[in-house]
Amino acid sequence: MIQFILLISRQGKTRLKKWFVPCAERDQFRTIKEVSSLILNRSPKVCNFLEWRDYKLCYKRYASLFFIACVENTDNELLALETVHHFVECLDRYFGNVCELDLIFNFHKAYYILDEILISGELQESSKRAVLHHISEQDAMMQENEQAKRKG
Amino acid sequence: MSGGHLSKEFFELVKSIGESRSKQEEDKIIVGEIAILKQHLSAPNITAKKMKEYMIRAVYAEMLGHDASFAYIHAVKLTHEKNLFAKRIGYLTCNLFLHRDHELMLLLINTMQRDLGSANHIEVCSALTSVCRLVNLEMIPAISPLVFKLLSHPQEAVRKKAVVAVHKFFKIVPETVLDQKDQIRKVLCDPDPSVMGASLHVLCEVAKAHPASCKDLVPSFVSILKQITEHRLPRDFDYHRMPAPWLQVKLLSILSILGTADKANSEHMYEILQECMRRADSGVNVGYAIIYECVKCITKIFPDHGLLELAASNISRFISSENHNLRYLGVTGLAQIVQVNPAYAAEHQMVVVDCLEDPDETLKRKTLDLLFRMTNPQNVVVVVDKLNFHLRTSVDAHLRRDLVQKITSLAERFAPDNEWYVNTMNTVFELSGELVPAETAYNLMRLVAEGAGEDESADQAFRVFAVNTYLKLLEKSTLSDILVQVIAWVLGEYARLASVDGYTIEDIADLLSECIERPFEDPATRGFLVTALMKLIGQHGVKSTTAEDIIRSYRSSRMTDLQQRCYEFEQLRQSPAVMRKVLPYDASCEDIVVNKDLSFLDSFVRRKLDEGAKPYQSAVERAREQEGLAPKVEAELKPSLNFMPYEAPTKPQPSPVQDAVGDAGSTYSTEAAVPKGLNVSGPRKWGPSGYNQPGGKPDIPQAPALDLC
Repeated sequence: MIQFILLISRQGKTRLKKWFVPCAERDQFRTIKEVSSLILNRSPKVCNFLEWRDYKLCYKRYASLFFIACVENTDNELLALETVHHFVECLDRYFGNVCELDLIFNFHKAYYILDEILISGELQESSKRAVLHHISEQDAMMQENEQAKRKG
Repeated sequence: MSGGHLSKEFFELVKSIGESRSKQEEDKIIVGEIAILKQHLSAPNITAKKMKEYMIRAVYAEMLGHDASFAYIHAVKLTHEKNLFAKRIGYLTCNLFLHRDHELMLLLINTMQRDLGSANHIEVCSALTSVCRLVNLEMIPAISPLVFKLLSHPQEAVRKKAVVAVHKFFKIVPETVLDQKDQIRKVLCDPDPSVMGASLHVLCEVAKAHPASCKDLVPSFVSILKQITEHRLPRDFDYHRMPAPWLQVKLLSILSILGTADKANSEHMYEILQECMRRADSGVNVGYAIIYECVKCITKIFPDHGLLELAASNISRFISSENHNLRYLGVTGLAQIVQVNPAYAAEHQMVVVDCLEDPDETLKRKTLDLLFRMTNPQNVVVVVDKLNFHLRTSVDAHLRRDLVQKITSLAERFAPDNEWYVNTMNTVFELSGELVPAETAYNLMRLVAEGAGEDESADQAFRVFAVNTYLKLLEKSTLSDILVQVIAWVLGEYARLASVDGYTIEDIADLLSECIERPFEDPATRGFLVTALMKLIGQHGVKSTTAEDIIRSYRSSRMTDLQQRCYEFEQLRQSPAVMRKVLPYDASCEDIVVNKDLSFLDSFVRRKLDEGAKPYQSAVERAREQEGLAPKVEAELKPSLNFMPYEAPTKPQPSPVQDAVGDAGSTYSTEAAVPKGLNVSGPRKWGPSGYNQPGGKPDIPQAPALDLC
């Protein structure tokens, strides 16, 4: 099970964080600091896994962003990387060639997409189309709502 | 797409954060932002749209590490909104702000209950997402019936999220789900693959907790896996042309749980495992992930030679790959195979040693782990050398603790001889004494005291060796606490065996008393040293000049244990004969006879009883007596929260008064109503037919309800 997902820019700024296990705000912040310094300092030529406390950090860099997933010790590391990749592909499809700015300004959308893919720390939707379908359905319904309100 | 829908304020905020050059600058901006938000939120009548944006801004502030708790209550309020847009933002922000034990959760339960029963599936989905994230022990009774009902919702997205919520319930209170096991099994047959996939997570947890209860599902799991590998699922579920890899991996991990030490069930799996590995081998990463999961499964279930061969050949491809991730998996996988059959390690020994030289820290650690598992009596010396080298160079506390554990375990299991064992343990104590558990030190002391037990002269020689080694070590100026404790004990017991040139018992005693002055972290260490000195003086009558000083200065120590030892020392010194008796030489292995029955007190007890003392009562009996005396306090019902909505108020029913008057022929007779204390025969009452005469009965019975209208 994934413990938390973090998106960190190369400068060490948090772009998105989501914990799937209960964790106090203060500890989250401490963890982010620790994890980001660990990962930003790793050379690009080494493997994408890192043992951290009793967990494993699986991370991958996409352009200027590091996507980090913290998984349990017995989990499949390579699959965790693929989960991250799947998330990135979904973001890419939704935003159309996603870039860091999209995530900065629309991070609530990124959270919605993440909520469709990962629920309570497990990947629940491996079909990109289904994810996008759910999201666009929600978008449409909210737009209708807005329009209805404007008319009324 | 960038921010067109955002207000200027938020856009400016994000921009200025983006442009800030230091953490301090960023903090200043956010502190300002929080002040603005607080001001905005205190205004009355905020529109849902504005509120939505404020919430997103609060999330932003919290993401950057600032406290936004002032906004939490507004997030909860937003979930109450009718407007779907606002409601979703409300749920999203609640998910991000709150945790399951947060006090505001109480305010959310009611809304969740209502939304779970909503006809709009998006509302249901939003609520379910929140349930999955935030459900807690108290909420389960209120929420679970609704969620179980949703398992048969027509929308697959709702069913799927409901299954995940059930998974969450299982983690908190397993019984909730175990009572509804049939429902979960039904979901396994759901026509939608992703709903079925979600149920695998629940079943995996159930299998972990109660493997026996899921054994009958093995054929189903195998057939599902077979269908997936044969590409029978819709193309949508392909990922990099691999059919539903996440489902495959989950199924494999369930199979590995159910097949552990179960030959019959494992045999069902052999064929599909082979097939699964063959089909996954398409050169994409996700395929490797599946192969790796297969390897893990093969090493866990009842072993099959052919499959192990296959697993080993795949692993050897991984381990010699250029790709670091694959090498990592290779090393990890090999460690698992080696556990089943150590023979597979031999051919990879060189590659493994290569991996140790790799600059990649993660790979190195995994390799150390693999080395640990590959160790046998032939290579233990080399392996422990390697591990010690890393213990010396590493600074990571977790790794060091792990290494210490590994080295001790290997040394205890495979030590070629006792000297090597003592030397290895000394190195470990020296390098990281603070990480060594106390029992490791005791094991070592026991070995010195008891020896191997086969040959008395060899044991004696070993003791001499130990004493000499420790004597030399004591000369070093910095030693870890645990090492000093071991040294003090060994020297205290066996100092007379020392055969290092130029050392007499007096010198050893001096060394020990010198050592007491060193700074220690563990206060017990000084106690060890004082006792060792005491033993030397007791057994050998050493004239130590420093003993007096030590007693004097540590008699007033803050450590009561050390004080006690000093006072004992002082007393014993006055009678050397007693001292020799209580501190005998080499008697640590002898049993001390303890009379547990305290029979020597019998005569005393009898005498007291004869004198009229009360007989002894055990604690239980005393407690029972107390209970009998005190009135039994009713076990108070635990106050619990009521999550059920109150019953809807009902229209007041016509009271018997009118009944009796208006409808004498109805079930309410005047006589029956009398005892209720109301004046039912009430003579003066306005009825539909006007004023009723006392006793006068109207001819036509009238509906009493009319009276009220």
